[in-house]
Amino acid sequence: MSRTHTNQLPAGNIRPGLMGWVCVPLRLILGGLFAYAAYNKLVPESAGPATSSGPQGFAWTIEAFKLGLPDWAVRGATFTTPWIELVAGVLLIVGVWTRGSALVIAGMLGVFIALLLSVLARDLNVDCGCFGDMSPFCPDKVGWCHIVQDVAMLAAAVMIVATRRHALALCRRC
Amino acid sequence: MSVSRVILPAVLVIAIGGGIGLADLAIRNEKVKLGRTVPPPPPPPLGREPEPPVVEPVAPASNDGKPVEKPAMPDGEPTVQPKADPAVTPPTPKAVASLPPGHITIEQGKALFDQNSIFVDARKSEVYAEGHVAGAFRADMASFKSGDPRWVANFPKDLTLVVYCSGGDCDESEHVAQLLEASGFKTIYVMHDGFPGWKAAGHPIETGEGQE
Repeated sequence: MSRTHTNQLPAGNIRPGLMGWVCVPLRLILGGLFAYAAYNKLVPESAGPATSSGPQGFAWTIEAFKLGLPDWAVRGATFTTPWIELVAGVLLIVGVWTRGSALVIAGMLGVFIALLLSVLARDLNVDCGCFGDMSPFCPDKVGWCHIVQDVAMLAAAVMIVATRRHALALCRRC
Repeated sequence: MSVSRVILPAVLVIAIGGGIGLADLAIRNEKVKLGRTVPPPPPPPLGREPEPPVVEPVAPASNDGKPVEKPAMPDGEPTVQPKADPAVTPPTPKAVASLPPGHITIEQGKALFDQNSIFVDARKSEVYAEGHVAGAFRADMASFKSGDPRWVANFPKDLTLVVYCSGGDCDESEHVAQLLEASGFKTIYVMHDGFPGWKAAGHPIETGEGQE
């Protein structure tokens, strides 16, 4: 083997391109928002017997959407949805399984948008519950602001999925 | 799209998050309450007995014959006393049957109002200030975040409560009713048509910050 081969890039080039750097702030914002949303849905603010935040508040939000789900499905969604959000959000930030995590987030956002549209179509007067009992960008009640918010996040997630090599990622190959 | 670099990690993310979520569900399932225990049917409107159908109205009275009074605030400030109007038309069976369990009509709510039941406004404080049922206490979802509101903690739990919000599809009253039930109250009704229905019926209202 000649020495010239050692100066060449490996067969699978893992250096991030421009889009890999452009996606860094998108990953931090999107991953941070999902982790924040998950935290609000998982951790109740009050340790008292009655609380409107945490899993109880999120379960009521799911019920308020009037989807006709049985109790076991409401309870399952109450606990699995925020944990998937948290795992995907953290992995997106640190850059492990980056594109896979972004794909999961994109899929969840697609479901959220469909649910919000169904709420608007049925003219229900309910809280979004997108970030638990917080609503940093839009009014509490479901409206077109929430659709715009989720579509913007969906666009960012799709961009991350479409980018092959990401900068500042713990695992650039995965 | 690469299966090994995108699809498979996505499946693993869902599997890991879903697995932790199901474990969390097994641990904290009991802490999440769905729906609400339905209280017994509301009493007939004051002054009206089911049999015979027409009875002269009587003044509000407790079991020992003394007039019923709403509990005072912890600091001794009396609450607003509604004007009794016993001439209430009983709800029609059709109207009652169309309501969800635990929900009552405006007229049933008025009957409970005349019996000095406690009314609870589940709407946000700024909406409450614009107008609410006379004497209603304020207890929106946010007021439970740092523990129970003061009146909830201090009032006897055998009182009859009537919770309302904006009527129609609003869910605040149902959720606040669940919180009040978790706080120990046993008899809680949701006034289905909420404040708009109450106001439209011409029943007593008042404005201002009121009591929380």
